[in-house]
Amino acid sequence: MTVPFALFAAALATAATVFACGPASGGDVATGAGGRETTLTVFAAASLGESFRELGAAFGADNPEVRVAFNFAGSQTLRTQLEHGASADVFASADRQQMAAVKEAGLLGSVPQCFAANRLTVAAPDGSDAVQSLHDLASPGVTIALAAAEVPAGAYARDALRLLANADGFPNDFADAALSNVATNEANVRAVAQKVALGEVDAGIVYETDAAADQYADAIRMIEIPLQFNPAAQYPIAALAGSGRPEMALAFIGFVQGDDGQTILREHGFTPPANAAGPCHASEANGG
Amino acid sequence: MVGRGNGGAALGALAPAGVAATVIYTLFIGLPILALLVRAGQEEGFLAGLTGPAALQALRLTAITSVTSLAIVIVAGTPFALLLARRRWTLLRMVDAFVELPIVLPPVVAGVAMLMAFGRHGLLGPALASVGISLPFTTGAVIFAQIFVAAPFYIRAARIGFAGVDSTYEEVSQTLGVSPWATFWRVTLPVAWPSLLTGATLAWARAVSEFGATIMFAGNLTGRTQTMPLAIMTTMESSLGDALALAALMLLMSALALGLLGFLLRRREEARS
Repeated sequence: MTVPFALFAAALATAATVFACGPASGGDVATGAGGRETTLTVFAAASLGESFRELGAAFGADNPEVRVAFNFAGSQTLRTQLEHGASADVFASADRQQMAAVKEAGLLGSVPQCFAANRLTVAAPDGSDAVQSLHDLASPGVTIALAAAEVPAGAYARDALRLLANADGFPNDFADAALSNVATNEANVRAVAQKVALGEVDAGIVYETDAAADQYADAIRMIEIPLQFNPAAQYPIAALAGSGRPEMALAFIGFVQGDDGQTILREHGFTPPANAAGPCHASEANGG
Repeated sequence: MVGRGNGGAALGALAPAGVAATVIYTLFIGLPILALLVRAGQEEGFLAGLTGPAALQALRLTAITSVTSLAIVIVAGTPFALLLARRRWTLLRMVDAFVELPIVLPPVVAGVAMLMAFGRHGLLGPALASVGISLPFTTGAVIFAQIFVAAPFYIRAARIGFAGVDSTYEEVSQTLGVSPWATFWRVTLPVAWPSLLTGATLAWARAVSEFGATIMFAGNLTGRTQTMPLAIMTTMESSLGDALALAALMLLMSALALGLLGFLLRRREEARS
């Protein structure tokens, strides 16, 4: 065998190994204790970043043989990846539509359970006074970042703007005026928080948990959206049919729903789910 | 002529590896492209996806921004490349070493860097704001991002092209009383032309495909900053069919550019021989 050919073959073999064994691209890893480990791959909504990393570490501490690897992205991105054959054990979505789509594709291995809820807030850069109130979102010249309409946070944000447009004291064209101020439709909610924290936009709509996250808390000022105009984001979680370790996947889901998991989620600002005991159906998703 | 028939002694032992590698490589690149076209063709509403308002806006924006970027790159990059090829000033050589940095830099890093420089709270942000300019999330930001990542491809090729022009021709031309400007047009440019054309094509293709720096610095807004690659990414998450249509369209654009380049270069070769 000639040298270049051997090199080429080696490169191919390396690539094959990486594809076969590696965690999903963009994933990061929370490792428990050392030793020989099984990797549990969890696809989770971008807004779950800190809380799930902590959950993964706690789960790994309880189960030293398990290493939890995460792929955080917009839920719609994760759904697309799963539909196109990405291999994972657990899917945690920021809304029920994305979970329903994965279910419809026949990819779920368990009934989705709601494990947390979240509320939206308007986020403005600390030190900028361009947006002081919800009304300012519709003021001419204001620049707003939203998650794209395909992203759960983007869909919720648009729902909130429409709800506000029908509220007392808000003009009927409030939603349209605010949407015309949108300067960018970001691929996930964290990208919105980032643009606000950098002060590149006058405001954005994110989850309360994002605005409160350590890395943004100092740079972001929250402007509260009253509950009646604030669609509660319900987070469903389910095991995936393609998982090679279904018991472990269910154990992780149980951990998320259990006391330890729920305590961690509360600490990061998530609220209890609307229907903790029963299944988490997509049909309720438009209820607000 | 070297390399015809059985020429190239080095090839002998390597020939089987070469053939195997060629076959594997061709399949590796060809198969995904073929799969994209086949799947796109199978989609119902393929044409509708191509002519939908979002696709047309992305196409229009991509055409306008990439052509604008290329024009700026050529106008500014040509004299720059000529200087790089003709002078060995110490400072210039230091600049020369950094010209290709954007090629090896991940585009998303370029986007972050541009935010830090031209963003509202960037180094130049307040100065720009004082004259009423806010760059992020504008079509101008798209063009900035494209120039940042694409310019080195043109400058590098043009520099090599100019370096290949024997400067004695230019000197003779000047001693004959021809102005430097006319010398450039009549002596330098005709010889360096293929390199410039190749560089311009690569730079344009890189501008068209720019994604990372754009989404970071210019954001993602239909009609204003959402170029084809961003539209494909966004559409992929709502409709695979539409995304396939856009992707096929982009593939076609790239193939056309490459084909046109090959045609122009070959015609020139034929004209010379």
